[in-house]
Amino acid sequence: MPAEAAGSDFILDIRHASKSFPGVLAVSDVDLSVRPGEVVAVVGENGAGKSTLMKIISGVYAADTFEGEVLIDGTPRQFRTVRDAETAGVVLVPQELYVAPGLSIAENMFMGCLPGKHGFVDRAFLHTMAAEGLRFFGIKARTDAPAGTLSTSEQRLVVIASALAKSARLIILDEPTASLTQEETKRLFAHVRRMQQEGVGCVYITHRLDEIEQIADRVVVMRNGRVVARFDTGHGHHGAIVRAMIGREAETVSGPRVGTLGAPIMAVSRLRVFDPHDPKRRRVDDVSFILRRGEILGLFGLVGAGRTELAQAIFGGWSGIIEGSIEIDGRAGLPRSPEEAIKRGIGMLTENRKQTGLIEGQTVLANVSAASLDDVSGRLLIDTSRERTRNDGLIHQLDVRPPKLDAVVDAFSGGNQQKILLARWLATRPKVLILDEPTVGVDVGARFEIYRLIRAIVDDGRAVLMISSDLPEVTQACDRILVMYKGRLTGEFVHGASRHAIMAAATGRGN
Amino acid sequence: MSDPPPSGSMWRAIGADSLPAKAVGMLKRLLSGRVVSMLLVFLLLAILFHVASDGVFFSPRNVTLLLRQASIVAVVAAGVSILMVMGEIDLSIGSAAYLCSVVAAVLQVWYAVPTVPAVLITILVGVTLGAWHSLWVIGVGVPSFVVTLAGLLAFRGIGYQITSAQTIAPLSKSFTFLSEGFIPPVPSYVVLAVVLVVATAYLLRRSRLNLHAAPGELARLTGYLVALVAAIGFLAWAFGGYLGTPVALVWVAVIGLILWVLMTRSKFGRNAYMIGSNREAAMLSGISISRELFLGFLLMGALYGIAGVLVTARLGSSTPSTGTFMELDAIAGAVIGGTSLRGGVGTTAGAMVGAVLLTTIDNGMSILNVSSFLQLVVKGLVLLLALSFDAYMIRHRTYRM
Repeated sequence: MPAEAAGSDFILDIRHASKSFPGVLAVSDVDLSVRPGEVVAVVGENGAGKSTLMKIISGVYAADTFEGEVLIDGTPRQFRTVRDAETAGVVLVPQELYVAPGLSIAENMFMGCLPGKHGFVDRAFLHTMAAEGLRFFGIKARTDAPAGTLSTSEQRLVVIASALAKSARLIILDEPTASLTQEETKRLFAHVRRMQQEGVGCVYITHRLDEIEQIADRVVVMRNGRVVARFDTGHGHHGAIVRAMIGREAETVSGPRVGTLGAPIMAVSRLRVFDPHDPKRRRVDDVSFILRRGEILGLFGLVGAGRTELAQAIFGGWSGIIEGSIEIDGRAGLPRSPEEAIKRGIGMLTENRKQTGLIEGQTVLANVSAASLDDVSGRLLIDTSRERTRNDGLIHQLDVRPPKLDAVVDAFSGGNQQKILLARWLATRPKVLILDEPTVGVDVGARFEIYRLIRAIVDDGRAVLMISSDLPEVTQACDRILVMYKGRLTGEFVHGASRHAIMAAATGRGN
Repeated sequence: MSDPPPSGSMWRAIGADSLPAKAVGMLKRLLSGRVVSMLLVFLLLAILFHVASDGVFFSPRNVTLLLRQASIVAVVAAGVSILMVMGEIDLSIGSAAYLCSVVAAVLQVWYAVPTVPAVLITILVGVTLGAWHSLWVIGVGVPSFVVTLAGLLAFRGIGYQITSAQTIAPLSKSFTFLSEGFIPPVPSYVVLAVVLVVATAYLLRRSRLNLHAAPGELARLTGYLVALVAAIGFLAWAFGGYLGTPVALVWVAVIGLILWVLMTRSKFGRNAYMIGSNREAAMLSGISISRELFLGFLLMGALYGIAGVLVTARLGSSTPSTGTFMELDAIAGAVIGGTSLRGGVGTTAGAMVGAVLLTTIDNGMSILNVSSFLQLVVKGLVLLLALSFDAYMIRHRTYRM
C-alpha cells in the first residue's frame, strides 16, 4: 500500500473507489495515487475494471454514481461531467476513439473546444494547431481533409494528439498504443516524458508489458475490479506482473511450424493497387509473394505501408483499380468482390472489429453464419438444426466463453468477439485466411489462445496471412515475415529474425 | 485445440463478462416486455372505449370490422418493417397503393378484365414500382428516403393523370369479395381449430428442441400456449358472433405467415438483419447487399399491389384519396411494433400488431364520435410516445454497453 501522505503530495488521490453495475461490482475499494511527474501504469486483463476506474476519475461517471473519494491536489472534487474534470486539469484519452468521418481532421481534433473569435471559428488558428498535431505523429494529410479519409490508426493518432494539446495536470491514456507502430509509440513516449518533466502526472493503461519497462515509474495490477498487486518500479517484475494479471502462470507464444511446408496455395504476382480517389497514387506497388499450405506468413509495416490495401485487394474489397494477378489454388484471376473471394476460398478477419467485423445487436449464431449461410441452407430456407450444430461445434472448438449461440455478440469481451469472428471464417472452410491485426484490443491470456488457434488452423493444411503492427507478435507467431514500406516489399525474414532488422526494413532503412 | 478448462481466475473473468451480458438480458426482457406493454395498452384502450361506448366496442361485430379495417395497413406495415430492418425506408406506400388501386379499377371497370387476372396484373404493377425504386437505390445510389419520396409524389400524379382524379367504380362482386366477403362461422371454426392444432404442435416441437438447454422454457411454453388459446378463442368469439371471418383477414394471415417464415427462417431474412445491423461487415462477409435490397424492394412492391387490391375491393372503387397517409400509418405501425429506424431490429409480426393498435385507436375514437381532426392529433401523439420509447431504449443500450 502506498503511504497515504496527507494532501498535496499527490496530484490525484483516489480513496476506496467502488462502482457497480446491476449485478456486478466493476471496481471494488480501489486506492490509487499519482504524484506530479509520475507515470503510473495500470495493467490488467479486459474486464479487470481499469477503464471503469478511469471513467470515475475523469468525470464520465458523475460523482454520485460511485462510492469513494477523488482528490485532486489534496482537495476532494466532485466532477459531474468530463468538462468539469478537464477544467480541473484531468484529461482522459479513451480507449475507443470516435471521429466524425465527414468533418475535417482539424475540426475533429478540436471538437468541443474550437478556437473562437467574435463567435465564429478562428479557422486560421484552428488549422495551424491541427497541423502541429499532425506533424507531431508524422501524419501527412491536409488538416481540412475529412477525417474519414484517414486510416483507423491515423484517426487514433489524431485524437491522441488533440488530447495532448490540452493543458493538463493529469493525463489518462487508456491503451493508447493499441494500433500504433513502434515509431509512433516512441514519439508518444517522448511526449509523455516531456510532460513528466513539466510535472504532469500520467495514468497509463496498457496490455503491453514491454511498454511498462519503458515508461512506468510504478505499476498497479488490477483483476476483477480490485488492485491485486503494486510494484514500485516498472523494471524486472515481468513474470510477477503477468501472474498477478491473469492469476496463473502465463503461457508462452507458440513456436514456429514443426511440420514441413505444403504446396503453394496462393501466388500474388506484380500486384499494384491504386488509390480510388487519386488513381495515380500506388498504395501497393509491384508486390509478389507465394503463400504455402501450412504457413503463417506475417505482413509487417508501419501505418500507410499498404498492408491493409494489399489484403483488401486480395479479398476483393478494394474500390480502386488493381493490376497484376492472384492465383488461388491453381486458379488465376482477381476476385471482384468479397463474395467471390469467399467462394474461391479466401477469408478475411478485418482490422476494425466493431466497424467492419462484428454485426452488433445480433446473436452469436447469426454472426458465425454470416459468411457461410449457404452451407447450412437449402434453396430458400436455413436448416436451423444443421446451422446450430455446426456453429456450436465451432464456438466450442474455439472455446468462446460463454458458449451461448443465442447471446448477443455485444455482450462478449474483445478476445471472445475475436474468436466469434474467427469462427465465422473457419465456417467458410477457407484455403487462405487473412488476419488483419487479429489481437488488437485482446487481453494477454486470450492473445496466446488466438496464436494457438491460428497455428491449429494452418496445421490443418490451410495458410494464414497475418497483418500486424506488433513486432514481438510478428517475430514469434509467424513462420516467415514480409515487410512493406510505402507500398513495396522491402524485406523478407524467417521466424525469430531480429526485430531491429525488421524495423529497419519497415522504415525504409533496410538493404 | 480443446484444453482443459483453466483454473478459477479465468472463470471469475467471465463474471466480469456477464456485466454487459446482464444488461443485454435486461434489454431483451424489456423488449419482450414491450410486446406485453403493447397488449396492455391495447387492453386498456379497449376497456376505455368499451365503457365509453356503452358496450359497442367489444361486440363481435365491431371487433370483426376493426380487424378488417386494420388488414390493409397491417400488410404494408409488415412490408415496410422488412425494409426498415434492412436500414431502408419507404415513403411511397400510399401513392403506390393508390396507383395499384387505379390499375385494378381501370382493368375491371374500363376493360372488364375478370377478377383473377386483374389482381395478378395489379400485383405485377406493384412489383414493377418496387423494381423502379430498387433501380435508383441500388443502381444509382440515391438514399431510399429520397427515392420513395419522389415515388410518393410521382405515383399519385400518374394515377391522377390516368383517371383525371376521378373515382372509378363500380367493381365486380367477385372483386369486392376479396376484402368484404366472409367465410361463414362454421368453416371459420374449423379453420381456427386447425390453426390451433398446428400452432400448438409447432410450439411443442420447438420447445422440445430447447427444453434441456433452458430451465425457464416450460414456463414460457405455457405462456405461449395460454396466449395462443386466448387469441384463437377471442377470434372464434368475434367471427362466430358476427358473419364469420372477413376474407381480408385471410390475406393478412397468409401474408403474415409467409413473411414470418421469410424473416425468421430464410437466408433473405437473416441477411436482412445482418445488412441492417452493419452493412459494411455484411458486405465483407460476402453478403450481396444489392441482391438482398433488390428482393426487399420487389417484396414491398408485391405488397403495394396486394394493398391496392384490398383497398379497392374494400371501397368498391378507386377514389382519388385512396391510400392517403397510408405510408405514415404503416411506418407508425412498424415503429410501434418495435421496428427500429436504425435498422437491424424489428419483426413483421410486431409491425402487424402495431398496425392493429393504431386502427384500434381510430376505431374507438370513431365510435366515440371524436372529430377526425382530433383523431389525427391523438395518432400523432401515440406515434411520438412509441418513438420516445425507442429512443429511450437506444440510449439505455449505449449507456450500458
